[in-house]
Amino acid sequence: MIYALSDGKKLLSKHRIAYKVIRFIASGGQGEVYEVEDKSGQRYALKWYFKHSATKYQQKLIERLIERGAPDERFLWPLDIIISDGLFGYIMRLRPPAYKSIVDLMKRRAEPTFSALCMAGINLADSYQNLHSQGLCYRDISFGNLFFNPADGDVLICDNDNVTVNLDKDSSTHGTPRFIAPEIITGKKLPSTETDLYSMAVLLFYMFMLHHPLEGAIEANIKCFDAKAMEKIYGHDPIFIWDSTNQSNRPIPGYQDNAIIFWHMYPPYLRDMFTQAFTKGLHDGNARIVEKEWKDAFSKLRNSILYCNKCGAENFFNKKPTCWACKSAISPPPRLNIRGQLVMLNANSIIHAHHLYGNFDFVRMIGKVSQHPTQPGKWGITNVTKDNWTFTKPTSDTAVIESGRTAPLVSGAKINFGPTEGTIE
Amino acid sequence: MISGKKAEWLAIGSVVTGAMHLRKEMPCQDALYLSPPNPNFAIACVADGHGSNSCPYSDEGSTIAVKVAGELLETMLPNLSDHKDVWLPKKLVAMWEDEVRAIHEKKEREMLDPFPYTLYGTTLLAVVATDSFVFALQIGDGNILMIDANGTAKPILAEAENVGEDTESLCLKEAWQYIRTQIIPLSLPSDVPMLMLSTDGYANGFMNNSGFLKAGSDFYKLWQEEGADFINEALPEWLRQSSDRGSGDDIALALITLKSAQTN
Repeated sequence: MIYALSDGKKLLSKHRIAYKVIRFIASGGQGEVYEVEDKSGQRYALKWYFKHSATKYQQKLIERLIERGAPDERFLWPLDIIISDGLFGYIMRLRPPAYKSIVDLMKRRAEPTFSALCMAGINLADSYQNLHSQGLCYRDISFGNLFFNPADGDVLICDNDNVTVNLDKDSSTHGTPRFIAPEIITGKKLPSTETDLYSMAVLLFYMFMLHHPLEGAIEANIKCFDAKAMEKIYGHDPIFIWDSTNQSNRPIPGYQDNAIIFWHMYPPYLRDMFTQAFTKGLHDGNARIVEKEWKDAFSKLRNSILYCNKCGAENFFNKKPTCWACKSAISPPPRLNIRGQLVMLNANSIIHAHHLYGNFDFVRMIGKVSQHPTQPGKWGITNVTKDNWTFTKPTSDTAVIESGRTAPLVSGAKINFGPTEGTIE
Repeated sequence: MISGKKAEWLAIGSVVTGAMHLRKEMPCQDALYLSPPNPNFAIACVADGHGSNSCPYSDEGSTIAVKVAGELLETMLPNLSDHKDVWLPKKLVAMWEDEVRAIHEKKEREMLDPFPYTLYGTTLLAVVATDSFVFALQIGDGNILMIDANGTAKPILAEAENVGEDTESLCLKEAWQYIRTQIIPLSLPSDVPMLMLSTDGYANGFMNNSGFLKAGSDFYKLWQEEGADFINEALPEWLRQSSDRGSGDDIALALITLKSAQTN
């Protein structure tokens, strides 16, 4: 195979930084990606465009994106441009190997916990919210450009070289089949934040259900999946597989099992959101679920995770929880009711800044569930902040919980964390 | 380099019953599909039915596999890149399973629950060549070689995923997860003037891997010197000899080449 750039080739960027090509990484439809190194030994990725993709328009787009800067650090954004022999490419950060693709998730090569998956959902929605808040549109949200860390749900967004302002008429990028909003397929609208919201909902559905929201009986029965068939299913006549008023496109057992198994595993509020996204939201851009709503839903879902007492499988809290894996009745742990959130107090639960402030900060720890050092089976929430908490027993007696001390899990007791108060249930 | 007119691909190949299968009066378990001549693309598929006692109908399984793959790949040509990872593998397995069930019912074979796809177990390898890309797909053993303009042969999709002691097969549960695919964009079709795919019976006839790779290079040299028709006519006899002297196994081998061997 002949690569455009040979190993060891030296290139000078617009920012006058010399890079050396270390190795070829991969190729795609628009170009090839290489690992490169600057003089200090710092490694980067270089996307080098094929001749047919190295247009003046694309070059200007890259230059504008470099000037503008990344919406946040989760975007592997163009940092510098290299122009050589009439072709060009851009420098970006390398993706660490711990980050996996959605295809890895589908093929079970990556098996995150539900907690990590919820974090990936929150991070994904948050990243695109940051992008959209700058009046930008990603245009091509799909399988191929999201990577996540199965350990903690951190995300990285790649292929940012097609990002434009909303409704840009000059870009030829309209998205990836099966992720493109119906109104783009039918030629009624151009890519925008609204159409990004549709593609993002498809991606989230894939992440949580391991299936496409429109691929049910109709798709299963199609033998010749040509452009006409695709336009019908994803553009002209889309029908959500769990549409409550139209049952003609239900998933087929044995062929589309993921869609059935996972759908019934999640709580009704999440199913309702996906239903809105793929019923009203199919035809009305204003009815689509916005990023903040997804973030709230996945935070709520994350808070509700509990573990089967028998097999240890992660489940979601409801009034009468039964394990989806082993079908045993689950005895739920104590809960912390705080700011309208119900947080399961499992042995590994952590109270984060988000639970106090609603800011989606799941990094800063406020408290953690811990076992009494000398009395096994006795659990409490340990104060890991520098500030004191106030613990109020059901009898109304109060006690100060200093930093490093633990408030016992007593049903009906309240903990005042400073900015807000929670009740143990 | 090919210059001037548009490159045109050609798929040629042959399938032969192995010497050992002839001796044991077993049917040929390998199968071959070659797309009819088309100015825009060529598709070739080979498959190797497992042939063990637990797979008595694997000759039918492999025949169905190459047919289904050939037809599906042609309809998917414009979107292969977007569908190669999930949708295409899923659809391919579903279509293979549908056809296997249909033949099972038609021949009034015993119906069991769950359906015994193992009876039809097979590998599958497929290659598509167009003006702008090469696409390869594989489940199970076998070899795909890409031969560059210097005649150097390189394997693609060589590393199978570990599925315990099982051979990767279309009959596995969730078989789509084991289907490996790769797209190689081409600046010029002449960058990769030949692709070779073969069931494991062919490679097993060589003493070592370098001998097998050299065979790929030799095919390229022959194509340059004698043309595709010459190879196509001689191929059945070569494969028979290869099986006789080597593994004794069935062999299916296909080559996708540029129709014209003009180089400069």
